[in-house]
Amino acid sequence: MLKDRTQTRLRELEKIVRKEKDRLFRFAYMRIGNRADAEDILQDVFLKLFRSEENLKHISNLEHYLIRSVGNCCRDWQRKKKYNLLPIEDAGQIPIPDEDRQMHEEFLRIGKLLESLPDEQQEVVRLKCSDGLKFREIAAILEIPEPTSKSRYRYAIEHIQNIINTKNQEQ
Amino acid sequence: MKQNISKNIEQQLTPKCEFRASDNLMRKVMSSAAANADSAIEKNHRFHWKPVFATLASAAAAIALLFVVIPGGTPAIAAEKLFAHAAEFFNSISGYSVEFESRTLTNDNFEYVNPSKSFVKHRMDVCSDGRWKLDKVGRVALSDGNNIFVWFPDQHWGRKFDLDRIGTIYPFNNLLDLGGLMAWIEDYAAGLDDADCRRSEDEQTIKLSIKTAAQGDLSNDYAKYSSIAESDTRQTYVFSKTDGRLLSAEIEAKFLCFYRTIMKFNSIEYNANIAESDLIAPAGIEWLDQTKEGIARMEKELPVGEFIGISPEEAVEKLAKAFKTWDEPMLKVILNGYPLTSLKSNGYFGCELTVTGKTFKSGTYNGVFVPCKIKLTNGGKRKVNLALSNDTLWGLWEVNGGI
Repeated sequence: MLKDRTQTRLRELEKIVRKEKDRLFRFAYMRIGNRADAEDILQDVFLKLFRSEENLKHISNLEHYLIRSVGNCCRDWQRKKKYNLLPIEDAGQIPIPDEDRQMHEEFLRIGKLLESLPDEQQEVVRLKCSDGLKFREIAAILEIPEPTSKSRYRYAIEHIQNIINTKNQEQ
Repeated sequence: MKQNISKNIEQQLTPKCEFRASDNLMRKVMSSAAANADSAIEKNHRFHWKPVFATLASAAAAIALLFVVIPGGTPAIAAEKLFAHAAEFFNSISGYSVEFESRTLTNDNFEYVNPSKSFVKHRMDVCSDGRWKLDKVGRVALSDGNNIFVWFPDQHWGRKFDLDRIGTIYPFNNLLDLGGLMAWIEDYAAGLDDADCRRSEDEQTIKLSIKTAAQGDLSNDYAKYSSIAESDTRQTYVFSKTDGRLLSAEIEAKFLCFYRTIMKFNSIEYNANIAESDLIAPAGIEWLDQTKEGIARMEKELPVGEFIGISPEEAVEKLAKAFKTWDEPMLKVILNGYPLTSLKSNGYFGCELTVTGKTFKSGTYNGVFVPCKIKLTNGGKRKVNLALSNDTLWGLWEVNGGI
């Protein structure tokens, strides 16, 4: 009986992993910048989901739950690596496998555009532009009112626009 | 036009390539899950617990680990049993209240202790949904789930923070879930080279006794004894052997040549009835907005550049000048988090501030202390060590204490 139930759960997990892995991988990679750690984080989150199956009845939206969990793990990762973090320019010097090169360039390019923003504005921008979420979804994931998610996004865009304008004037 | 520019920036912020997780990820997840399921079937039990108490279980496991590693210890109670019972117990309660006392000043930082002071009563209420309140008479803090508020009831002002500024109630953030408290014990035992951890047990209880040495740079001992971390301590925690509940805790600090209790737990009420009205920030308080948005607003409007890239002594000189002429924009920067209206009416308007000694560092504080003399316009005179730090992103100097 227990074995049957476990098999069902494993099949359910497989479906979820198949459906969500690339999206969550992009989410984690754009915050971490390396494949190995991003995939470790995903593995932890999926296993946690599997282990805590009976505790998930309160989860109304699995996608939001997964994004939030991966986000929390990325923040933990950043905290742990705090003293070892390289400046974004130096991160470009780390050897990257050829197949990940384009992805890594995008990570560096977007990271550079966002680096002068406060963390909470960066997060809204990433969720909107990288992850393609709606403001309503962003608000639910970050547990903030929808107008706050919009205003953070607006401030961020204005700020980036100012930076670009200044650079253009300098040139 | 503006919309086009926004669209253009949005496009620049959107990754332009595909992101694909490796096939190996799928394999790793599924094989780990299968292994996990096998082991669960073997044990034929699984636990679940509320996230807020989840760390308790790992802490209970850490305690169980102590059974193994401490020489002479006998695992009289199976680690797994304690782990299971602790998870079960904390899953079943709705919240708790802890009453404790600490030798401190009623309105000083929560971290501040002083072995020569009297005990001040504290009460911490924690709801299972994550809201909480910490009350030490002259300084109260609460989280209503959206923000953290810290206020001084008798002075009618307070500060509003984002939820992540939990350090503002340090070290009592460790009480927000009792698993966190035990993790804190584990940190002391495992993270400090000079900590000594011992375990003893009787039929009903497990007692952890820990000795720690004062932390930080105490070549100038100004900060010694001013916090638990900056004191040589002896700490005792007692847990129920049947369900892992914390039953009591006491911290003593070595003061001069003897130990003196600086903190003790009086009662812990599980399933406490916490009134909704206790978890609402009070009206009639002047709130200083210390949220990231509030600070970002301030930084746009105020002359923050005046306090960047200078020495702490220069920052104090600028503060002195701003006090003399009551230059509010300048004061708002360096005294960020202080109520200017209250300072103004308490003799700081036009006061004289002079540096009287050499700047020094002490203890675990990541800023510096600048010895000063303040001559207030109401006739008062104070000798203070102004605490200043500049560990913000821009290296902006701010006064953290002494005013």
